Amino acid sequence: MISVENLHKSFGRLDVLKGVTTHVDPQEVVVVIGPSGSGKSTFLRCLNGLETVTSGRIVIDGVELTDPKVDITKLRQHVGMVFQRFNLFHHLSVLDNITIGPRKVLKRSREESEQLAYELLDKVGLRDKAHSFPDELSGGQQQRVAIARALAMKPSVMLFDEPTSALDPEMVGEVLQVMKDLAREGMTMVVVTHEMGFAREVGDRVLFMDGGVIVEEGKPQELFANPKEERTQAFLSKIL
Amino acid sequence: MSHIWEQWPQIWAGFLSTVEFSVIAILLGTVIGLIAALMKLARFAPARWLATVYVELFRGTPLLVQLFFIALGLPAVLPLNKWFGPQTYPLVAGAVGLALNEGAYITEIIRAGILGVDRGQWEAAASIGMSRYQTMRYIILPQAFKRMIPPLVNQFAQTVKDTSLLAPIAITELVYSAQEVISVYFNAFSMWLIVALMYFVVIFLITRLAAYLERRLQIDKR
Repeated sequence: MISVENLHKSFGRLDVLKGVTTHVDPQEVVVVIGPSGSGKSTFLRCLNGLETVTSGRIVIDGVELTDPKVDITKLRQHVGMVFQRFNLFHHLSVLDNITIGPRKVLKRSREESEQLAYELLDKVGLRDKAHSFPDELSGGQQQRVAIARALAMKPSVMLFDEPTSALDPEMVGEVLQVMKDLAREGMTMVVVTHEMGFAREVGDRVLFMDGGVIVEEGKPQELFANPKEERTQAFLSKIL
Repeated sequence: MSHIWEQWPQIWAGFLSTVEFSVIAILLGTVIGLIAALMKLARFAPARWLATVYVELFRGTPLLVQLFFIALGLPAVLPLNKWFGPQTYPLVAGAVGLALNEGAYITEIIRAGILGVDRGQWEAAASIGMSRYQTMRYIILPQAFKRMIPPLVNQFAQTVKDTSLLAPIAITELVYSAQEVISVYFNAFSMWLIVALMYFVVIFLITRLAAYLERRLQIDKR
């Protein structure tokens, strides 16, 4: 589904990613953990071209994203993204936030798009908020709408960039629940998060990143119980 | 005071001319400003350079000089009076000169409005597969527009005032008409008072309309 080979990314003279190689299988849930500044968010943002890659290869669904001839706009339609700060469109209602992608990008009719939007709102438990504006919603509600907005494009993979980090503690659960449901339905997911409970419960594989590389990876139970690398041990002892 | 009523048609015609030039300069200037703002934000470098040169030239020189240059300077080297007709060209020059000048300021207003929209909005639009054009059209401009209203209205009010600089290139707008009346009736005090009031009413209406728009957008679209 996704394969990443020797990915490097520099901002000016700062090397953020120093050779990341990994793959994500269809229906797999990969959780990326690591200290801040480890490059995990940058890694995720490279996967849908929000950051241009300095060198290396990324192939998603058989399309090489790092090929300059590839239409990245087209590719992004298959790669959903959920942001730390939700980034809902402030001038559009909840319903329009969800339908604008299908309508303007996929050229679906308004009726078809709204029907899909209501289905997705049911899924995230926010049908009654269809006509609210983002600023009228709580953080947890906004993030659930953001997930629905991404799903409306029927992506083959969903990327989550610290989706619960900007939320008040009591709202983390509702967002994680939506993500768990999604994982159970077989969505391929790459999740950058600090929620170790989520990683343990839902993750098929955990990548521990530090200093721009993947230090260690493995099944959550193994990695959390018996981290092999010293850096992994140090990180886990701090947060668990 | 009776002579003011005798000369009222002339003042009224001057006033209408001021309003016409204001409307043309505002509409045309906004279109020019939008295009130049998008050029300044374009990835194609020559487009950015061209827009920057335009803005700097028109902001860096006095409007009166620009109007003299277009109305009187250019016809000295180009047969503009012949192409447009000697009656029409000064009017065209006045409208175009005003619009270009306003456009330069509006460019910066629109550019600042666009840049003021949070980067996250661009990224969210990109993440659902929108092109740069779609992002601009459906996501960024509608949000930028709201924050542009106050500075744009300021600029529109300025435009109305700037039309008074058309008098020196012999366009019979409000100031020019007033000067003509005064030269016959020597009623400088009452005439300039009336002229000032007429400008004030137009500009006041514009700022009221803007306040109304701002309120409405706040209620409909938070």
